[in-house]
Order: sequence, then structure tokens, then C-alpha cells
Amino acid sequence: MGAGLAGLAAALELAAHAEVELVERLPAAGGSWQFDHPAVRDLVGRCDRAGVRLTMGVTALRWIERRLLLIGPGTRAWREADHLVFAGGTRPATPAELPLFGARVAGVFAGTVAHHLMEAHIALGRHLAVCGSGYWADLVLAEAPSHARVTVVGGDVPASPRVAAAWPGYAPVEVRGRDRVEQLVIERDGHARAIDCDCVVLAADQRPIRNVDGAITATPDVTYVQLCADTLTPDAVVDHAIATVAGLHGRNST
Amino acid sequence: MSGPLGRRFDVVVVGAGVLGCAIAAELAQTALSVCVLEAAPDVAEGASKANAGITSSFYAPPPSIECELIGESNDGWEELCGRLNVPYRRIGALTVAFDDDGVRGLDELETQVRAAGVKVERVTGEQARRHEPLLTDECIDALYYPDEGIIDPVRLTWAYAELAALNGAELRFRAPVLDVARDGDGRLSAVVTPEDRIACRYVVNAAGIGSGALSALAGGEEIRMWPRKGQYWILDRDFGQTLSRIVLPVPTPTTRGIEVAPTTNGSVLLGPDAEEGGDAEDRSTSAGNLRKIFAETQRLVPTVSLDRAIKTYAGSRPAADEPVRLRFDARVDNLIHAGNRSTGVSTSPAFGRRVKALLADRGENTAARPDRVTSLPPVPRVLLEADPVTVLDRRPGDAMVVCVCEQVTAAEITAAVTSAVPARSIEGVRKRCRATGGRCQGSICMAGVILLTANAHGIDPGQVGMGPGGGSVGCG
Amino acid sequence: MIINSPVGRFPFEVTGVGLVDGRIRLEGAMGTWPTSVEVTPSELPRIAARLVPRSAAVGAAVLGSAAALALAARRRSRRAA
Repeated sequence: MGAGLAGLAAALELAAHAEVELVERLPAAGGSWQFDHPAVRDLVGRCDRAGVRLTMGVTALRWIERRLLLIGPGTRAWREADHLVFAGGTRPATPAELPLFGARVAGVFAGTVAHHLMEAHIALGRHLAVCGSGYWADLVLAEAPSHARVTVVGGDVPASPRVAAAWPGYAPVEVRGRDRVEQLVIERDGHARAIDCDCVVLAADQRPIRNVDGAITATPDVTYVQLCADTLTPDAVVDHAIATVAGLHGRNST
Repeated sequence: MSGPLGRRFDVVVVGAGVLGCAIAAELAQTALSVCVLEAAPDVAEGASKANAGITSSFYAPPPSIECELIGESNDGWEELCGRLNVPYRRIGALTVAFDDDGVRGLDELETQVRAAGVKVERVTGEQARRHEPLLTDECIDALYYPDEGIIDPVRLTWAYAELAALNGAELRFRAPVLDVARDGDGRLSAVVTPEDRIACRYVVNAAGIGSGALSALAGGEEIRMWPRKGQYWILDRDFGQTLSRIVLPVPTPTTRGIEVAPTTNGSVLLGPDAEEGGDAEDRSTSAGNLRKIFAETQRLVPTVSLDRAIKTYAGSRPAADEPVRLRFDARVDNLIHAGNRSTGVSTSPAFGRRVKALLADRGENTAARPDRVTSLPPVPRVLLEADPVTVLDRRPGDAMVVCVCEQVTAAEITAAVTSAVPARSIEGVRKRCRATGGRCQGSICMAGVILLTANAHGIDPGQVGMGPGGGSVGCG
Repeated sequence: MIINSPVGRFPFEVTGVGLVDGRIRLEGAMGTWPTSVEVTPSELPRIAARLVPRSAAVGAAVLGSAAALALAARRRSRRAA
């Protein structure tokens, strides 16, 4: 499940030993790497030749007793399978996971969402507090409008000229504001300070996406292929995927 | 008196919480014309949202109006929720004791519950653990209430509002009552909102925490209300599937206690605590309170884990000198107070009928109109279907899952943003159909939800509302 | 053709072009999803003016009746699910 680089690499690795179907929620392979990334195109071609069944544009929702529920335009079915390989990608930690407490106000976005909206030229604020460094933070920094002042909290100090201030080693702990975020309280070693901002982007602490009921936590018939790291290269993702599924065909050969 | 003269209604209901909407739904099915005024941008923005989603079978001992209202409401949930597409399950609750003090508390409680004629069983710790296997070994004695249920309190409020609107009631949001007009006898003749002046024959005060201010404005009796803030953790559905009952400690005089409660969408609530005297608008969560809540619930159900936490939230329930107010004002002849400091959801069906009866006593024709609408069109919900293969593809978007965590389709979101009382914000969409409310909290689907909402209302994505305070996505 | 939208960048293969009720209608598929694009002649100057790469407004407009489908997807989510 998941036709990003990890899912494609895992499917190809397993195809020599088993019948493999690769299910993808979006209508094309590639995931965050996008459909026309050379590594994606290469793996899609090789999966095709290796007999992997590519099912794109269909969402897997439940994994119950070795049956996977698939739903999408024109496809509504239960697929029987011996094993689920879950390559569902990663996302930044949510406020509850960080944990970040305080006011529930407009202007606090997951890095994934902030990036989509900024790319669409929706102005999210004049003073952005970006928490964390790495993939999503970089995307947000690249899209941040030139008039916006950017403060980075935690993570490594990014080299980007877009960053006006940085607080490495600090963690966001509290959101303040009435209708919209007005301040983000950050903390390091018990020292707290409040940063003025009208937008908070949560891009820290990568977590595996887990959204298939029955495959949220480890069971013997599910393997997760989700490399959680701040910076990822195609090679690292592919190598991790191959290494993770390497032992699987032996285990399921019965 | 100011403002342009707007429409004239028989009844103006102030407040679109669960009580205001339940009353509007009931009255709109009669010949009376109804307008609901809400200061917030959406339904259920006050106590109805801060609610734990439980339909009580018992709360206050008899004789009390609260006991009567719960009794009048509790048998009808399956029928009502079936008609209004509101998720509801009668799963039963356990009040558990850990020590001799707790056992004495249960003795007293049991006497009260039996006096109220409510179904209850006294069970041993062992028996209680058979009802709820996750219950702590520390539990030595418990009361089991088979008739307690769980409900989606926000969906219930929205459903009442939809039913009211489909029967012709007008619902106005961001419409606080700024002033009132009185005739020579001191009766209310109109209410004034920022937009216009609305003439009316009756005013129903269902303004929750704002009830006291409205009564003062109307020249009515003094209502003493103050906010009682409560905070919650929400744990994921994966943990939720292991929990089968509501688990509560022995209640104290001020609160039912911090509980562990399954929700109708499969997640689990831990909370609420009770903190008095703050600002009613304060919806902020705090590390200290939430850590304490977690520790207390861990004592009830040791397997609760913050690794399963998907969200924290806080809300305000009104605390009041008079727990339940359901009567005409003592001074203002045509002002009805409809307020409940705790069991608003549990008593809402009875509140609607009782307010109708109050008007009938005044000679109003409250007979049901033959052309009234009594049920809402069903929206197939993938999450609630054991085998959704059978319900999908009736309409475009049925088979397109937008929010994967909560299994919400484009059709469900479209229904939420295009209904009679539509969602205009991310929060509004989440309240109606759960999209963005799951494990990833919208990390994946929020951009899509924003665009579907913007498209439905013909606005810019940046103008879509975000957060309960009325702020929007875009800024600057 | 490539469709850039706030929820994804996808190939769009056109399989037919026609005029429907005075609108130009492109039939095709965005990846595996059936998709159509409808444009009225009066919209063309506005679209040209707003045709900024990766614009949400354009993305949403271009997706037309398939918007609901497209919106379901997500943009560049890593190793998509």
C-alpha cells in the first residue's frame, strides 16, 4: 500500500517471490516524489515488467483477517492477501503528539497543509513561526512569501536567507491568541519565551502515517516501510524499503 | 431601539446550542414561525461542543425537573437518532469504587438511582470487569447502568438545526442580541442584532453561558451563571475498539467526574476536569490539567496511553445557581428560559416538547403541521458501515475517500458544506462529518477540505473559517 | 498535459475535445481518474491573467467537475498512501 518510492521498491523486491498488487490512493504513482521523478518512472517500469499489479487512485481503508478493503471511483472491493506491506508515507507530528497545548485558534497548520496552501498563493500570515527543520520545513521556507518574516523554532539552523530568526533546541509548548494565533511560547531547558506570530507551521518530528484500520499498530501480517527522518534521499528510501521487506518472502512462503 | 426593521417571527430562540436547536426543531413543526439567533459562527459552539457525548439515564435525584426531563428523553434515543442520522449507541456505564469511601458513595448513589426508577445493577469488581475488561483490578465495587448511551452531541445539535431549517425556521449566525424592545406591559416586542431588528411574540433564552446577560438585557430575573471549563484528551479509534463501556468514578457534588468514554466515531474521551471562574471564551488547553486528567483516567483504565492521543481540547459548560431552568420568566411575561448546566444533550428531546407545551398553555396553536418534515435524508457514512461496498456509488464522490483516518468521502463533505445549515469552516466540516478529526488531524486532507468548503460557498480558500473563534485560514 | 493543483501534480491525458453548451470541454484522465475540463470563452482572458504555475485558483478551476475527486488527493505527501 502506497506507490511512492518506498512502496514501489518494496513491491519490486517482493515481486520475484510472490504475487504483488501495489495500491495507491492518488491516481498516479510517485507520492511525494511525483509521477515524473526519474527514480519513480524507473521503478514503475520495472514493477510493470516484474508483473506487479498497479492499482492507482484507490484508497485502502481496512485490513481485517487478511482482507484489504479498497474504495475508489469504480473500485469497491475486498482483496485477499497473505501480507500487507504498508508504505503510507510520513507526516509531521500533530499538536497532541508534540505535545503543544494552549489556545485553539486559526493559523496553526501542519507543514503538509501549509505547504499546499502557500503553493496555492494563499497568504497564511505576515510572521510565520516554523517549528522543526527538514523536508516539510524546507518546502514551506521555499514557498514563504517574500514579505513574510520567518522564525524557525527547533531543529537545525537552516541556511535559508528566508529565516529572520532561529531558536535551535527550543520546542513549541503553547499557542496563544483569541481568534488567530498571536504568540507561540517556546521552551528550552525550562526557559520559556513567547514569539509574536500570526501563523504557526508544525514541521517537526516526522511520524509514520497510519490510517488503515487493523494496520495501525504492528501485527504479524503487516510490515511498515516508512522511513522517518528529517531529510530523505531517493536512495535512502529505496534501500530502507528493500532491507525492510527482504526477509518477508521467506516468512510467508507457506 | 435601532436598526432596520427585519422580519417578524412568532418565536425568537436565542442560542444555537443543543437546547436552542432542539426547541427550534420542535416549534418549527407547528404553525409558529421561528428564528434562531446565534452569536457564534456555527451551531454547537458553546457547552454543546464541550460535552462528553453521553446520554445519561440518571443525573439528579428525584424529585427534580432534571430527573423528569432525563426520564422523558432517555427511552426515545434510538428512534430519534435513527430519524435524524445521529450516531448513537446504548452501551452502558460503570461507576466504580476503589475503597470504602467509594463504596459508601455508591450506596448513596444507588438509593437515588433506584428512587428515580432508573435501571441499575450493583456489581462486584469481578462482574464489573466482565462488563468492561479494561477496567482496573483496583475496582472493588460498581454500579452498572445499562441504559446509558453515547451520542455525537454536535451531530445531534446540527441535526436539530437541519430539521428546524427544513421546516422553515430561519437560523442566523454571528447574530448576537445587542438589545431588546418592550411594549407598554413590559413584554418583549423585538430583539436587535447587528443586522436588524426582529419583531417577535416570544423569546426563548437558550443562550447557555450568555443566558444571564440576555435575561438582564430583557429586564428578566437574575440568572447567575459562570463558566466551568473542562479539558479532554481524545485517544484514537484503534484504542477505542478495545473499550466497550463508559467508566466513571463516584461523582462529587460539582462534577460527574473525570471519565473514560467511548465516542460514537470510535475514539475515546478522557475528561473533563472542572475549573471554575475563568473566561467563558477560554478554550485553551494546559499541560498541567491534562496530565492530571490522564493520571486519573489511568487509575480507571490502566491501558489508556498517551501514545494514542490524537487531540486535546477544552470547552466551557455553564455552571448555574439553578441547574435546570425551563419556565417563563417571573418578570417578563413572554420570555422563556431554557437552560441546563450539565445534561443539555440528555434532556434536549424533552426540552423541545416542554417549551412547546408552555406555549400551548398560553393558547398558541402548537399542533404539528401535516406537511412537516420529521426526518433527515440519510448520508451514507463509510466509517459506520461494516461492509461499505454495499452503500457506495449512489452519488458522485461516494467512493472517493478524502479523510482516510476517519474514512470520510467527498460526498459526506459535500453534504456538510451544502446542507440547510452548512459548514463554513474547517471546524464546521469536522463537526458535521469528522473530516480532519482523526489521527493525523488533517495533515493530509485539510487542504482538500478547505477547497471543497471554499468552492461550495463561492469564496476564496483563504476566507474559509478555521478554529472556533471565527478566524480564517488566510491572513495578511 | 500536467495538472498542478493544491492536492497534487498529475499527468492529464486528453482523449477528446468538444463544445458543450458553449463551453470547451476536454475529456480525459488524470492518472487513473476520469477527468474533464470545461472552459467558457469568456473565462479565457481571466484564466490567462491568472495562469501562474501551481496556482490553487487555476488548479481548482481547471479541475472543474472533477474537482471533488482531485481534492481528495493530497499534494506531494511523501511516499503516498
